[in-house]
Amino acid sequence: MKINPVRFFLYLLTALIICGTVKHSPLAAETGKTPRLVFEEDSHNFGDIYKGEKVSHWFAFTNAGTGDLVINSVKTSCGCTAAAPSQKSIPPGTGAEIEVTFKSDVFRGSIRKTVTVDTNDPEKPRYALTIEANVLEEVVAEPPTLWFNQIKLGQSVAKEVDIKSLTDLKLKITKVRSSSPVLEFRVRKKDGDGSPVLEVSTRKGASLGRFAGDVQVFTNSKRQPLLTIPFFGEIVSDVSVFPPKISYGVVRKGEEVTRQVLITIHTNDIKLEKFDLKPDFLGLHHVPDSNNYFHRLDIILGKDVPAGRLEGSLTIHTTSKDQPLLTVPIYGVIKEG
Amino acid sequence: MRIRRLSGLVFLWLLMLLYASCTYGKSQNSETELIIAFSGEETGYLEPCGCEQTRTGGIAKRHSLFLSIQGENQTLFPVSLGDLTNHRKRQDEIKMETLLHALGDMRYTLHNLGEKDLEMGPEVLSYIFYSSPVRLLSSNVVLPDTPGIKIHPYVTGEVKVGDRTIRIGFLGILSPKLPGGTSSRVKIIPPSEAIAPIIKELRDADLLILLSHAEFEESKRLAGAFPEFQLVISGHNSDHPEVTNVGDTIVAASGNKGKNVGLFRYRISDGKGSLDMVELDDRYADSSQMQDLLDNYQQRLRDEDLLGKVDKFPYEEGSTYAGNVICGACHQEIFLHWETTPHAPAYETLIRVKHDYDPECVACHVTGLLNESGFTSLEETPGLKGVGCEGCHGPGSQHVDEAQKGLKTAAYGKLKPMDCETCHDIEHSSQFQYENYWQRIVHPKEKPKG
Repeated sequence: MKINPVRFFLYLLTALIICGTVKHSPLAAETGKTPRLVFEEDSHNFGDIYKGEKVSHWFAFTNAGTGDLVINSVKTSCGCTAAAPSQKSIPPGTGAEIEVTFKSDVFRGSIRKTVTVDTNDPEKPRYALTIEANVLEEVVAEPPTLWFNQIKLGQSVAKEVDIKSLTDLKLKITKVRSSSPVLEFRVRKKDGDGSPVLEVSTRKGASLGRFAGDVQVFTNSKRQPLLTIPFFGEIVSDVSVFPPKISYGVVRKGEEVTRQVLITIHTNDIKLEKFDLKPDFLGLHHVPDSNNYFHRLDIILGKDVPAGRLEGSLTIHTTSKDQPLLTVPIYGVIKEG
Repeated sequence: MRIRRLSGLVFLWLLMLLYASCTYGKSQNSETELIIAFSGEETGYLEPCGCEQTRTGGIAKRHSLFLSIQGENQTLFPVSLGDLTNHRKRQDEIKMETLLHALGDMRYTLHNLGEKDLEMGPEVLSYIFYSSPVRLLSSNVVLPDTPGIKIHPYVTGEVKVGDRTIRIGFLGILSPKLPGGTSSRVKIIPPSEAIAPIIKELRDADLLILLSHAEFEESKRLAGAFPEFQLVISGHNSDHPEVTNVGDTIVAASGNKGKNVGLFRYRISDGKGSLDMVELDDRYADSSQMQDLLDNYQQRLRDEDLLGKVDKFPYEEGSTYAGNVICGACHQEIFLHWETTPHAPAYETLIRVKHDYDPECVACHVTGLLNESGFTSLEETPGLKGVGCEGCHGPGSQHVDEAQKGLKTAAYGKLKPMDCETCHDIEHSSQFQYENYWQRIVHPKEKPKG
């Protein structure tokens, strides 16, 4: 019996390469020593907490196995929850903790969040921890959001927001601000109980276009010192155009791309007269509205446009005295290939 | 000879082992199936934040998942639950347009109207959905005086799977509790009232699915009231996947920010369904097609100069941003040390990943973007790039004036650990622990000024 050493070596090499491609089993299984994760509890209820509060809980656990327990990852279900183990490798017979922190800023009512713990425990590699809470509000705004809808240029619209305390706190507004120049504020006391009322109005001189943002109301509540009220609306004249700029973004040369423009007529007898488009190689298709309310324009970037930066404009001529011309800038980048 | 035979056997055995390992985990089910994929509540989350080590979700990973599950025996039918964006600014409008474009490219057929979509306003919805292959669905929301927008009370689809044609009916509702205000231009019908007549109309459908933009408990109640639905897709503030059964109906939420996708597998043979939730983690590569869309989105933010148009809060205390060089004139050691910390090149990290014109990213990589006299652009305010001294301590001009006049300035710049969390929040810096992170930027002690 003669062994061909070259052939045997080739067999062995092939076998080793194949072995290398097969996923290795965990070290614990190879050594016969296995870790075992045991949590003292897998859920915690924080009970009633106030909006804005940050609460933490430590989930204690032990390694009841014979091999080292490795915490591979700890993932939370929400950006509002953070979780971190006190140590990542836990020898047999010892314990550690996972700290779970919940921030209640954007919640109200009952909440339930989960934390997923992945370990090298072969019996149960994934564990889910649960936290629960009932988020109460000390300060509320009624209504919670301000919709201004469409406001004619030069006019002002005022809205009132009741700022209320749901506890026995005697509520005071210490400051009100917004990043939008469209709004102005006044705080007064409500007749009767004297609770604060926030008067929010749009400035008469506000410029045309959509506006949105948050009103920040600072109060004397220690639990909830900041209350945020979202708002949105649009200042319009005879005609409005959306979007405010036409951007093609990055386009590959030879690709045809169409962008739409929506023209809304707010005053009945206003007509659209003509459209000027620059540069000339852009195409235009007008989809009129039989009711003269919504007009659409397709602005077409053709296939034979040269590479480079595109800058141009769309000018809309109307019969409006206040808005005879509306100009929408056009941008884009045409890339080779 | 025996060894030779033995080595041959070992080789064959290893080959079989390799085959077994390759086939393990793949679907053993070669049965023909229709897969309804569902996602929702992206709330503006186009891609995971690059600051995070563990990146989950995003349209680029979702597209890769869809490409990986379309086989000969599988037909994919993706649907969207609602709430593409979270706010209503110009950046959100561009985001919404980008997301809807992505849904169209991923062959979504419908998008159920959420309250945040509704808050974008009828004009924006009309503009964005006008040329999209994705239909806007709502069985209970009506915009009476808005002719430019088409909302479908239900959507039907016929899908050919193998040699059979499956008729699917989709209904969608928005919980009347959710819109945070009232607008005279929006009418919301109670969901049960809206659903009942449509179910009658679609009684011949093989599969009825409800997209319920509502809290999970409300969706469960609707599943109980209308057992005709085989699947109720739920979602509002569902930040983690949830699945339960109400009678024979599966009620499922895929969670928010597009981090997970639900896959309802409908077997043609017996008309039954089962459900999988897939987390879009590092197993899924970024699809190049979606990456192009994301690059396009960044280019549009740049073209529209949204960085230069950020609404800024007035700084009422009367102080303005002075810039790091001014701070460094008196606090030299601290300034030199700051240059070695991760705060100093924070803006450059954004340039590297081409997000340096994205206001949402820039706000935490420069000094004072959201306040008057803060960063506006690299050209106009170069001294405020990076997270400088005033990025944490606030505008310092008054402090400088007082110091120059020899007045006590101890009140300026005191911070609490929670002040760091404005940027180091859980979504963007999940490993943040004040004690550990402070060690990375701890300021050298200054000699007493004489």
